[in-house]
Amino acid sequence: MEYLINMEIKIQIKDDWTVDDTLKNDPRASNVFFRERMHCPGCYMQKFCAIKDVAAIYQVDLAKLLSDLNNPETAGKNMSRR
Amino acid sequence: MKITPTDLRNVDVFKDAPLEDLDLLVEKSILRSIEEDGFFFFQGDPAAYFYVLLSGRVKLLQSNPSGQQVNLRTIKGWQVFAALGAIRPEALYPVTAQALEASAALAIESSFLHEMMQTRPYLNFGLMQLMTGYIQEMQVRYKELATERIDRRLALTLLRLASQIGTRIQEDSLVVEIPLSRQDLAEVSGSTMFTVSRTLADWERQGLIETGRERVVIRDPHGLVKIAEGLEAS
Repeated sequence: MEYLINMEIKIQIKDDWTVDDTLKNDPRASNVFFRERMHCPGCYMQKFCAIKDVAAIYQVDLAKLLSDLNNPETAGKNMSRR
Repeated sequence: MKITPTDLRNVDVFKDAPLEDLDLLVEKSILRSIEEDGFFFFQGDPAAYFYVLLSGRVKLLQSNPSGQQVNLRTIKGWQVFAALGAIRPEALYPVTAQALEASAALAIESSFLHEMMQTRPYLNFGLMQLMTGYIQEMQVRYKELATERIDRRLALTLLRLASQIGTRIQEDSLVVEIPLSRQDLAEVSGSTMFTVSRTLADWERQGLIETGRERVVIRDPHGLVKIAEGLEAS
């Protein structure tokens, strides 16, 4: 059985995706959460909390968060909060 | 460092002492200077001396057999520490005293103070004041520790249940409903109805949750997560 390794078409994470969906889609997204000191990976609310909720709770820019989650390997420095 | 007898009036326990007692104390005391991170005495040593800190800061810490350390309190200038030996001559120091910075203290033989206590009511009252202060502090800290554990356990229980059987009931804000009664929660979290009710009432007042007959609604999930994980305000 052959698998496609470098998929050309990537699924884009949207702001209504839950943290659970996001991590299942690409586990590397957890790096983004850790880098921003967010406690999302392992949180019991993963199935309910959407990315836009995370942005509101941790008071970070939603667009930047989505961009980082969609590009976990090239995400930039820490976002400033508040 | 030279100490005059009247300097000792800065110490609460000696503020009502007659001058002749203060003279005696200064005469009978030894000055001990300890460098930063040095030790005045170790937990388990015989409580041979009673100390009055003159300068610097000292921390009193307790270790358990597995090496975990608990910081009991910090001693500042003119405060007394290691008074135990004066009251119970056969006692061992229950704590280790370590200098947080270069410190100097007067060490007075516990047995000498014990003698003095036989005939000086002011000394007895002074030490009792010290002790009751410690007891009150410990009661507050104990209460905080005991309730904190219950809070965290219950918060974890609610969150775990939410992830298992909860549903999101609002689109625009993160609100999760759990179809359980307080009795169910008490049983699941290993607490009593009384404790659970009290904690839930507290949280409801704080806007973290809302309770109904057979349901608990989490209004502020992140707030509950902070309690469950013992996080500081993020």
